[in-house]
Amino acid sequence: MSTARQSVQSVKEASGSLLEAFLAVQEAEGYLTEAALKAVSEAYAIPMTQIYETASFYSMFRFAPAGKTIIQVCRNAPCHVAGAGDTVAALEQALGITIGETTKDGAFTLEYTECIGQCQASPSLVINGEVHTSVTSDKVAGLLASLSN
Amino acid sequence: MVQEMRITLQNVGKIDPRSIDDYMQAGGYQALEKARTADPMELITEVERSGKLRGRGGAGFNTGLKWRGAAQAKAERKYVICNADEGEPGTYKDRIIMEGDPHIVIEGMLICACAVGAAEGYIYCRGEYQKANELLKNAIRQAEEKGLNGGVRLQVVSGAGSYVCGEETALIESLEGKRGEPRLKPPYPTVEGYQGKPTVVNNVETFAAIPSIVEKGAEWFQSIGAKKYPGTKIFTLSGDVVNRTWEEVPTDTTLRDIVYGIGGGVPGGRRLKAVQVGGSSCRFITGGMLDSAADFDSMARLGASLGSGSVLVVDDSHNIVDVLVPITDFFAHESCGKCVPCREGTMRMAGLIRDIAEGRGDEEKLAMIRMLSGYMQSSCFCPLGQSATTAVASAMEYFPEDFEGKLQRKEAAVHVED
Repeated sequence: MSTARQSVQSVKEASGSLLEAFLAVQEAEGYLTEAALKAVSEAYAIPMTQIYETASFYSMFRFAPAGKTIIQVCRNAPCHVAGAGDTVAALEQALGITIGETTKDGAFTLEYTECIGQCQASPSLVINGEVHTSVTSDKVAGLLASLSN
Repeated sequence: MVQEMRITLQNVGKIDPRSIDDYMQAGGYQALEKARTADPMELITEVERSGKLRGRGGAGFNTGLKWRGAAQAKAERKYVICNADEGEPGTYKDRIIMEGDPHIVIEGMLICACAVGAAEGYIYCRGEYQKANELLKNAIRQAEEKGLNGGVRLQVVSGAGSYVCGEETALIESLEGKRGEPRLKPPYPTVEGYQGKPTVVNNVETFAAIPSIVEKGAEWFQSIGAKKYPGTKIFTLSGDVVNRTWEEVPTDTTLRDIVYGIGGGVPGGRRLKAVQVGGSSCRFITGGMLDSAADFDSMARLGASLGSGSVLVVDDSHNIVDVLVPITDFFAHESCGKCVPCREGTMRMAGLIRDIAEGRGDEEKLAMIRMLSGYMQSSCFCPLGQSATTAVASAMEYFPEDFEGKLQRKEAAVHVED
């Protein structure tokens, strides 16, 4: 908790942005815990209702823990045309879950993301914040193998 | 023959984006120096006249006019905001600029601050663009170290995943720490923007054009491209095209030159079916319309739009209804929920399109789509909802047999126009 509190304080001093405070907390704790949101509320002197009102609007914020590895596949038209549907199917099969789920062991979360601006090399996806491009379905097995190494 | 012409991308790939010295050796920050010695109103007139630079984010509003509004507004504080919340599907032009030449954006913003009398500025950079965010922060730090910021405090602030925040008033709300819901206009941001103060919000590509305009002048910029939308535009290609790539060209370049000249046409012996210029909020056009120039007004004459300059190419292997599924899903996900027609309409539209795509369609559902589309275009609060069904409406107009094929549960109907 003290780490979250510290990062909130440093964001407040640096940019004063509420969204960046949430991002910092999420980076430290994996998701927006109630305790962390209270810390933001206190640091920014904003009531908890308003804190939730803002945080719940943005799709990057989580309110529950996710898998250790989060795979987010772009589902917008350019990636769709380039075969993102097949990529998702290959990932679902390899991980044994459907999109939107987390594996039972908590190792992987598979979900959609909106356009990530990498349409020059679609289908594209993001793994724990890192962009991977041209991930056609035939490259899924290799990609997952490279993650476990 | 496609003639590339790089103004906003002049340094991309040529300089180290982390080095201010590289940028300055390429002539960077000389326009800022020139701007600082000029009379602010003359500077604005130059931008206004100077090629009638019109916003490159998609709305095409005259940039100089925006600046004049903010400059003439009386207030003790004014703000300059760079809209780097690029999120229109298929668009990656701002990322290319910010990752390749962040200083050109900073210089454009500092010139604007000088013209309108602002001492503070923000770059609202989408949360997914971590690399651009870091490069911009580095560029600001370097400009400050060299004393180039002239007392103007610039800051990069991250978004957190919201398409509607690309709308300028929603962006301002978000920057103020609130939900990104658009405000009623007027008042326009140039009168009451960030923290209620006069604010200029311009797109990354718009700011990146400013240094060259200040340096080379009105006549030069106006002589390039289409008369009423002069200059250059970056186009970003995606979909069924040989070269999924990007290029900056004069605005009078034809769509055919963009799709075939830059993009190399459709791969794998397939044929072109549809092109969607401007992103998911824009219309599909057919192969027969490609001889039009790509500028703002020529696209409007086609009933389409230039939008962000993204170019999604769809070949004849797709039924257009299948392409509408991710498009309508996108709007259902990104609707901010402020107004009922958009919140409910985008959700219903996505459901109806999915029903048809998956073989559960009937004539009644098609009629409902038409009706809903009309209601949403006329009654949604902001451009997101108003344009959420634009692609659907154009697809129904140009590819009725694809819908018919889905109703009869046939495989992809094929419609080709060369």
